[in-house]
Formats: sequence, C-alpha cells, structure tokens
Amino acid sequence: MMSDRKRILRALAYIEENLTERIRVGDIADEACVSMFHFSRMFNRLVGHSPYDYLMRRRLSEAAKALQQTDSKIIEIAYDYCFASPETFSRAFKRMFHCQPQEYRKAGVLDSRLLLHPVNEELIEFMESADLPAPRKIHMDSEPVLFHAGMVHVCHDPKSENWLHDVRQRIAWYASQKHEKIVIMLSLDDTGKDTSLVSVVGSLECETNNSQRFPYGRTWISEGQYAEFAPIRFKDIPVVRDYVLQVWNQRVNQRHRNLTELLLVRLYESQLDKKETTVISYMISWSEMEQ
Amino acid sequence: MKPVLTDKKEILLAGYSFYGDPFNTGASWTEENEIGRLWSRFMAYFMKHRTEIESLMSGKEWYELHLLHEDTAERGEYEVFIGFRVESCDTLPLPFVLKRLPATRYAVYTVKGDEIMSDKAETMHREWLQEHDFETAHPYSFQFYDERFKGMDKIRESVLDVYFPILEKS
Repeated sequence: MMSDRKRILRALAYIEENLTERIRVGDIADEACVSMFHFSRMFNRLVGHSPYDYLMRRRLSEAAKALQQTDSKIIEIAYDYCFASPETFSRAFKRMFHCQPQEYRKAGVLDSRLLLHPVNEELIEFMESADLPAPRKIHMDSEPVLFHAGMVHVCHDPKSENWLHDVRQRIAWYASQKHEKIVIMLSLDDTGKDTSLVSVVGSLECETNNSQRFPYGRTWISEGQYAEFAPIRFKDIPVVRDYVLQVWNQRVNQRHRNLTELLLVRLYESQLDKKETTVISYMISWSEMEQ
Repeated sequence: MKPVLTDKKEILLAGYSFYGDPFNTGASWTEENEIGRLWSRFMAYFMKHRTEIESLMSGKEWYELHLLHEDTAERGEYEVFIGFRVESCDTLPLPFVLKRLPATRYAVYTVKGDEIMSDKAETMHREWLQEHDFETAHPYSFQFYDERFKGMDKIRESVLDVYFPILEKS
C-alpha cells in the first residue's frame, strides 16, 4: 500500500504540473488515490495547508514571479493561472501579499520569503515526525549588534549545506574572539531583484566593544514583536525556516512586508566543531493585521 | 480486511452540521479541528438539554456523517454532520438539522485504535471497490459510535464501524 507521504508527493507533483490548468481538489485527491476525507486530513497534516489553499497560493506565487520576470499583461497572467477575472486575481493577490499586482510589479523587488514554494520531501518529513515548534510572542528592544566586515554573507540558497557551513565558520570566529552572545540577522537583499538573502553574523555588543573600529561595523536589531521558535538544533535551521516561512507565516496575517529574521546562538567552545552546537532560538517579526 | 455487507432501511438523523475543510485548522485526531469543535458544541448542547434530547433519541449511538456535495470536488470542502437517530422530526429543537439517509446496502468496516486515526477504513474501502463489482451508491459515509468507542482520550482502546453505501454495478 502506498504510504501517506508518497501519496502527498504524488499530489504535489500533480499540482505543480497543472498550476495553469483548471484542476479541482477532487482531481488531486484522485491522483493520490484516496477519498476526499482522508486526503483533506492527510494534506493538512503533512503540508500545513488545506489542498485548496495550497493550490491557490502556489498559483499566486507563480503569478507573482511572472509579474516580475515577464512583460505579460496582468490580465493575461490572471487567466494563465486560472483566475476567473482580474478582480478575483487582485483580491486573492492582495490577501496573500498585502498589495495589488500593479504595485508589486512597480516595486521591482521580490521577497522570495513571502512566496509559497513547492513543498519538498524534507519539509513533509519534518511535518510528519516533529512536534511542530509553537512560537512564543516576545518583544525585542533595538539592541546594537557588532559585526566584523568580513562576516556579512550574501547567499542565493539558504537551504544549502554551504550556507550552514559558512554561518558555522563565522560563529566559530566570533567564539574565538570570546564573544558570547552571537546573533545572525537575515534580511532580503533589496538592492537587486533576485532572491538573495543577506546574513550578518555579529555579536550583541557589550561595553568593552564600543571602542572597536574598522573593520568592525555596527547595526541594530529592529525593535518590535517577534515570534520565537526555540530551542532549535543548528542542523535543523533550514527546515525550521522552511516550516516558519512556508507554513506558519502563510497562516498568520502578517502586517509586515519586510520580514526580519534573527537567530540567537549560544555555543560552547568545546562544541565548535561538533554538530550539536545549539541555536537558542529562531525569531521572525510578528505583527498581525486586524481581521 | 473484508467488509460486512448489510442492508439498512432509511435512517433519520438529527444533529449539528459543518461545511468546509474541517482539517484546515488542525489535521490530527484532536478536538482542535472543526470536527472536534462540532462535537464539542453538540455535546455541550446535549449535556445542557440531556433529558429533552434523550427523549428524542432512538438508541444511544452517535453518527458522524461525511457528505460530499456537488461542488466538493472544486475546493475540497464538504459537510460533516454529527447526530443521533430519531423516529420523527416533529419536535426537534431549533439548532438541529435533519438528515434522511436513504435505504441502501452498506459495506461496513470495523476499525480500532490506530486504525481509526489512520483512516484505514477509507483506504480499505477504496481498494475493495476496485476489486469487486460494486460502486458508491450515495456520496456519503458515516462512522457509527456505540459503547465500544471509549472517547478521544482512549482512542487506542476504542472501536467503531464505518459505513459506505454501495450498489452492485449494473
């Protein structure tokens, strides 16, 4: 008998192949060879969205890319992705991205973190096996962060092993300099139109560091409400980020269009080269719109 | 597991109803999804008006009905109804809705413990239909809860029957 995970992977592949076709949730359940009741429960559990919500968000995400990457008219993009009219498309688009398609195209910057990417097997495995981390709402003050100029890293694929490796190397460098509270600030590289993520690895500044000069720089944590997911193991950062951005963040009605992500790290010198280095928490700005 | 085939006369049910994707807020067998909430609302009403409702009940069993509507395939939304059997609809309290299940033959699967949580009956029935000369007679199925079901907190010790309406292929 086919496992639930295989059925869902088959359903997800079918969705990807048919984003521009007029498929129905019933067709997707048929592709997975299960009843609507079982499919609905299974899909929500393993993907974190209802099947219809997922289908619509995937269509909107691809439509958003088309707005940025092509010169097609908005009405054509709306019809390509099976929206009944430009008005229906605009309403759905605004619900997901908090702006009209025209504004999105004009802004010229695509924050890939707001898009719903195709859910992959790793995330399904995480959803299937883990006690999903529940966020705690916390307030962060605007604290200064001291960083070495060489510790800023622009990354095109934060899911990659290379990114984790680079971040680990930078953390190790701060640890060797006897910094205790290490923070990684993740933000969108808004200088271009790609999906690069800028990681600034630094330490929460203490008094003795105030006299530091070049090549040190100083930046500030944005003050405000954050959702804190903790504790998280270092190696799980990519999948937890994926879960937070792809599932949790899509469910909450974020006021933010510019998300701030922080990773606060506690590590011990003896653990530097070991995989059990602990990430205390992953935080993402959290300010919900009024319903 | 082979189903037991049984013929049933028309069944009249009274209870509460929900329409949508019930697992959108929580997919596991917990009271956090819409089916759990529906049961909570229903049981709260039952406990408050127990004497009145028990006088209407024909039997002590509970039914959970999953009913596909004509537009279900489009968005994956369907109706979940929970209730009990009644003889007539003359004196039902206002919050209740009525379901009249037609006389039909059913394939019945008895599931217990983890089988309940894994929707095993649904899978078994789908496979059984593929191998036999039967088809779905009506777009619904129901779970039948009697004294063998010990509650959500004791689901591993619980047993329930799942009914699927069937029809011999012509």
